[in-house]
Amino acid sequence: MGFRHFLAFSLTVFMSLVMTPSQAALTIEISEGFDNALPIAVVPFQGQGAISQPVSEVIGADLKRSGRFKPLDLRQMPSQPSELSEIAYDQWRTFNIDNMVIGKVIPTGNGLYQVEMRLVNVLRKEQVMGKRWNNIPESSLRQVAHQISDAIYEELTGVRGAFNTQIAYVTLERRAGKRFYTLEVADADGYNPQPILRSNQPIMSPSWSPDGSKLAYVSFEENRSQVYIQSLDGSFRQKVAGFRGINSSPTWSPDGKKLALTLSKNGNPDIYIMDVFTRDLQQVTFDRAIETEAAWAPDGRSIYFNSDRRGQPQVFQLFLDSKQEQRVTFEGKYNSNPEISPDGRHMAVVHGGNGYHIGLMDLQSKRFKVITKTYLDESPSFSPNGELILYAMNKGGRGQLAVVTLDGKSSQTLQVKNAEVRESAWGPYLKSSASNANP
Amino acid sequence: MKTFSKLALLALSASLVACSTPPQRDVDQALDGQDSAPGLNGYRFNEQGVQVEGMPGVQIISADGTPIGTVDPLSGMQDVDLLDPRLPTFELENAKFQPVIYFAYDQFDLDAESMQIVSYYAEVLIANPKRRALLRGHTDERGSTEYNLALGEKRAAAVKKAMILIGVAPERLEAVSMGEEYPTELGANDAAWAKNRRVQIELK
Repeated sequence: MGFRHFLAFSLTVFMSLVMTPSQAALTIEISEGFDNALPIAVVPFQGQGAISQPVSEVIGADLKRSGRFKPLDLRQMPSQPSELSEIAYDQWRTFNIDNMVIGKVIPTGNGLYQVEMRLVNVLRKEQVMGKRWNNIPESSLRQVAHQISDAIYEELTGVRGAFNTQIAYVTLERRAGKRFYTLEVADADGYNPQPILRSNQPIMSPSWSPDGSKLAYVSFEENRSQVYIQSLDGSFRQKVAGFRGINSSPTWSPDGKKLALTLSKNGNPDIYIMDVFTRDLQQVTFDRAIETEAAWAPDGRSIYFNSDRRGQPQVFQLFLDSKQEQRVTFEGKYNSNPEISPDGRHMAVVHGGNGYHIGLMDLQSKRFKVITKTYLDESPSFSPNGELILYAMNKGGRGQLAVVTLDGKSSQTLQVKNAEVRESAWGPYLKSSASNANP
Repeated sequence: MKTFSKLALLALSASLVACSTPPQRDVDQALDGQDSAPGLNGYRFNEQGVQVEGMPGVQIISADGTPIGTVDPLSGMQDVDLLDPRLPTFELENAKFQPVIYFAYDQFDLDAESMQIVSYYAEVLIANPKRRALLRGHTDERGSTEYNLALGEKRAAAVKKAMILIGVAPERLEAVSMGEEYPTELGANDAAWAKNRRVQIELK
């Protein structure tokens, strides 16, 4: 079972991907307004008219999606300055805007660009931040825009931005009675979708490795649920759990060394922890009920999981050292698929009962609230800065993805044309910033 | 508690079945003189048009290599993977029940009606020692996919356990969960969901 063996296997899997790249593009549709959003003017960057993805529009959409900002409508702008000296501050006073983003996209030959941005405090009439990116190919301009959004977000909210990150999800297309599943990875705003795996059997439960280089997921390609690990660069793919019964619900530990997963090889769905390198397995739940959907606490010392040992799915917490268990959810009769925020403060669940919605629990105060109003919601995951939740829902009879703020006040739909979208997972911060972006 | 009541129900149903079953039960499940009607034992399979193309190691050939006769993919191949999609599913002619067992929301208990169906197909298997059964557990689309995968397994396992209690050898049964991935009805309503919460018995 050498490396060459599974490499050969993986190549056959990927060939079809290269031949038929995904044309699916997520489009974003704002479905609700924002109450306490901060007004900001993102002025069209000088020179961006010549490129396919206007940088300022990407920034504006990012800031809007976060729920914390309310970008000024382009048509309301009294002028479109691109340098500090061009700003007539008096013009902007009536718009009640504290902050303004201006900039330039300058072609420097050979298909490369220089991008310059400034964040300006309109009240104090001074520059808060200025940045310049050199030698950027057109294909990386969106990445630069996301980095600008991250910088603005952190400057104005004190929280690290998570716009320059990626999401994974599964699309399902039904054509001529056949089903086509695709595991895709895209930018956090849904652009640049890249197919990772295609199959005519279900693909489920993608889980990001903490360094963002690999995905673990469930594939039915051998007619039963089995767990695979695959690197995003396509160099590595391996089945790590193919026992009798179900092999499912993989989740990486925060240090990336372990994988929690659900196996029923001993006759009952229970949670096991696998050492990713040695493949050693340790069974950690033993109840005769269903135990599945493990989620690691950020410190890696406990896992939250779903158990129906009380007759209905509820979330429990297991401390791995002491083996002590405690029930965590009590609200309603159905709380499943727990996900823990990166700071360990919040837990998102699928909350059943009156429809299926995303519920959010403050793990300190134990306060629980339903934060979505959509239909058949499932598969929640936190953005790496813990500010947003990505989830799957059903709209108009088919699966779509949505992003919601933790207070539930603002949400957006991500939509893939001609396909159902499901099984979403928000990836970690990217280790290195976009290509050769930083000067 | 749930498990407890389910076991009690199973034991009760199994004993009911044992009392009502005619003395044709084949305890050793081998074809021998003890069988009142060896072979189909009153049950007829529709084997017409059943193709086993591409199944490895199941062709019977003559000395010169020519394939001869119809081949039962499972005869002498008890280790064959029942989940292999190339393996045909045999349909029972004039079946008393459709080979589908339905479940209540978030449940995997077998009620009396379900036990009738389970018992019937257990008898079919007992009467036909060459046949095996793949039990596919399904759920409706509501709730989380991973919980549904586990729930589908519980449903398939409940049918498997009941059949074992009735007397089918465990190695002749394979339980597998398909979770919420294979609905028979696509609608998002109570009627469709009720049809999708099921275990399908596939005779192989």
